[in-house]
Amino acid sequence: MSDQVVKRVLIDMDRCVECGSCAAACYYSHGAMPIVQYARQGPALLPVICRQCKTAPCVDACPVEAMIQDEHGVARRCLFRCIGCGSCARACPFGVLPNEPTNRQMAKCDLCVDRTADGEGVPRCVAACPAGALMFEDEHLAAEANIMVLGGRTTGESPYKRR
Amino acid sequence: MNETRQDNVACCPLCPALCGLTLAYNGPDLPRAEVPLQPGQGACPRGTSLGELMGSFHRLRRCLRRSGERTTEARFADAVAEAARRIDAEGATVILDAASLPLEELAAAAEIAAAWPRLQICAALAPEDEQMLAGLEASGTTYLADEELARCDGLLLIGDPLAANPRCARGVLDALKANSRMPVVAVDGGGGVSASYASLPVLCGPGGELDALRDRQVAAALEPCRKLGVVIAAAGGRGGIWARVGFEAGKLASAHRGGVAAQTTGGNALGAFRAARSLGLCGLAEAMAPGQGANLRAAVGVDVLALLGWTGPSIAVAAAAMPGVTTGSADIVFPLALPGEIGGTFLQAGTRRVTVAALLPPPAGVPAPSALMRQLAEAARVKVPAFSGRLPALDRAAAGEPPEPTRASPPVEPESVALVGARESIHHADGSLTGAASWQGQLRPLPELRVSGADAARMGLAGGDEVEVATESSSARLRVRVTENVPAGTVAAVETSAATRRLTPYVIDSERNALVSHPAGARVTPKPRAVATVEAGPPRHMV
Repeated sequence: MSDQVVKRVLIDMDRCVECGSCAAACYYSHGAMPIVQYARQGPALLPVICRQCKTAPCVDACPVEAMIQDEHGVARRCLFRCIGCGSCARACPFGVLPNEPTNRQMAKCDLCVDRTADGEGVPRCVAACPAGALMFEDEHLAAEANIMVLGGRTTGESPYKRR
Repeated sequence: MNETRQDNVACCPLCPALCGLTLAYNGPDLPRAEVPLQPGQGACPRGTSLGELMGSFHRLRRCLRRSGERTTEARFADAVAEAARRIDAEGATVILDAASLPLEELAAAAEIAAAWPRLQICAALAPEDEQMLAGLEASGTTYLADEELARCDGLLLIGDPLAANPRCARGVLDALKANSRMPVVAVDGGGGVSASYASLPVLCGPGGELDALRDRQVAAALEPCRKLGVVIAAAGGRGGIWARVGFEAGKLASAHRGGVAAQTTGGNALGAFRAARSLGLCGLAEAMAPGQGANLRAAVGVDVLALLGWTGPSIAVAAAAMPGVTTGSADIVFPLALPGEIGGTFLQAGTRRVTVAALLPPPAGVPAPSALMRQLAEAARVKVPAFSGRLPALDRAAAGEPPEPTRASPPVEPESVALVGARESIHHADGSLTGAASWQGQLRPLPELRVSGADAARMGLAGGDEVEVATESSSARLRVRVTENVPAGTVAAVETSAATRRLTPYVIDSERNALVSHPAGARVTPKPRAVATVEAGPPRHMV
């Protein structure tokens, strides 16, 4: 068993045009559970995507073991165990998980396991991104390509200022 | 004309990108539009919402008949008979949402109108798109596909094209990646995201886009370009500048051996613009002008009152997939196929004919526009031959210089600001279609008002505040977004709802036979912030 996520969703902030395609694709394909959030106001009008932490606080916080890390290290929510208590959302250090449950269950990114399990496809948010800002890349390859990764996301010249 | 041909499985017809879509199901009955498996194909929120809209609870599925204040359901045959009788008696102008329809639908409608002289067909485009395309065609410029932008060595972004068609951002950003020092000039007064990517952002006041194109600084910045890509998207509230802006942008692109990527509302706007000329269809200004043409108006697929920001005149017959302002006032309402449910030929980038399949056929008994017109004609006992299948000629209009626009400065009183319109990527056109989509409703329950930091500080506003914006014409509630991409003294309201379009409604410029939306002086009044209340006891789901 490997506890290392092989590929991550990386965001090139220089390329994000704030269109919301990632969040819409995620929402419509996951039964209206908004897993990829979209920051609504202020300067950070960007997609907020689960970073798939290596030691995931959401997994540790779940009182009913509904959050698990699978054999690929992807933190996932077991649908039938989740009681929607929101412990995972409060534990998330990046504020990625939505605070409110949808249909009494917490939404959690599973990297579109139905598409990516065979290693062929990419998560829907990445496929939908019209500007090429989202990438589904091996973290080590990203480092070799001199892409600066900060907290699991790619940034441009400055992490705080877009072009 | 050197045309190429490309066949796709199913595409979103709502903007010129024509993103690929496939259909998937959430359970047996709820369809959804699925994005392609691999990146690079796009599909913005407008496209992905199409699947939900196809099975939406809000969708019109039955005919409605209005008498006085009362609206009742009607049998399809009865509604067709009544509408046909009225059209036959008084004559009607059928206003088609031409920009999102394939060429086959326009050609079939023209053939029906030829057999039934009581019908006049209007190929409706967004008014500013129509003027912009007229200017571009008159300039004789070449058109660029989105991917060709990556091969340009200089870019001129006019308006907010990245919101009008997010997929064109890929070409823009690929060009920037290849040459980070290339000149990128963004001319926008609507607070869009384009200015964030520019080496020379030109934030202009209402209607200042035309002056910016003639600015020496802009000319100097673009001077070294050997292939200039102009990406243009028109928005309302700028006065009648777009024909001239399109013309000068086209000339500028040609002078630098480049071309123009026009980001219109609807994937077939350019095709419809050319087809309207060859088929002899009238424009929206002519159709809506009082006392001209036929007595009745039938809006088919276009929420014409929301689009123009009008509350009248009454539309006798409306056909739509989703309820809107026009269906709310029409005497007879028919259900209609959604844009994604009609396949056919689209013209992309001026020369490329793309054959698009329907994502899903319309529900049983819900007709496409030409099928509805055929049924009306047959109910009026008009013999309409079967559609010949001949597509209209798509020759470009003759070159010629458009006239200088009349300048209209908004009457800005003390403590008021100038209001213009702006484009947004999450809604299509006036929002009458995508307004019923659940994600859009959750993300942005109120339309956005873009305010500069200086104005926000002066008015005591912060991002997320709810405000009431009042102009001479109307008032609307909007939510503030503070951005430095809009100049001080100007605020921009996204035009994706009927309420915001009523703030700067279109007026008929009879001299130029065009519909023009002028900037307006607006008062922005903050609404009190909601106070969060905490319920006593445990959360409801834990009880």
